[in-house]
Amino acid sequence: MLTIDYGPGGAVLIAGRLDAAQCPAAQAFLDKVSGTVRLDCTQLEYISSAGLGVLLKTQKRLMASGGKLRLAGVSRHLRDILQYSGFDQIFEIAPEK
Amino acid sequence: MNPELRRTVDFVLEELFTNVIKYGRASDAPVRIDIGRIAGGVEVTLTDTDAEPFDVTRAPDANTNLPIESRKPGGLGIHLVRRMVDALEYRHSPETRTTRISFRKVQRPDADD
Repeated sequence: MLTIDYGPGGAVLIAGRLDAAQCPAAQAFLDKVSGTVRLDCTQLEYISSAGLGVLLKTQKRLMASGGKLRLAGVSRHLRDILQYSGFDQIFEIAPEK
Repeated sequence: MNPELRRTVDFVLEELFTNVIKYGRASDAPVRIDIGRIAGGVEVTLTDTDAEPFDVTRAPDANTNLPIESRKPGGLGIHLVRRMVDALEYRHSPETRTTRISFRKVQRPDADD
């Protein structure tokens, strides 16, 4: 189960599991965002390599027009995966509060 | 199972299972998953009884140092699996066409969630 939508303050809230089965829905939503977007991952319980592909595709598209994804609320699970995949060099990750 | 350990097992199983399906023969043979407890963690084995040989322990790593322009979605699954488990073993029998992939993961002592 995955939900993704705009939250208060204009951030995109993503919650649940971003696994291979949920990637099409997440990609469809993220294909419509523009500019610099804060992606709040506080309630993102799980991400697979297919989910990383969704983030990468979105980041490439946004950066081509001067925007980007900023990741916030990154859990240890997600932080480890971002680091192992080198995505910590590609995404701006807000420090833990 | 500790939630962090469960997430890791979940992740590795998804990646290995996806790999088996994506690169295997499109046969109806079921993929069996066995999960057993070991000291401080779990051992998981995937068994595919109609598999092409593909040694996940020897697949090349992804180049994670490339700039974003050169990176493409995909190709990270096995790369990540190898970094997230404590042990990964691959066995394939050409006679029975059976592949067994086993991994072990022990809970981190400082796991806090």
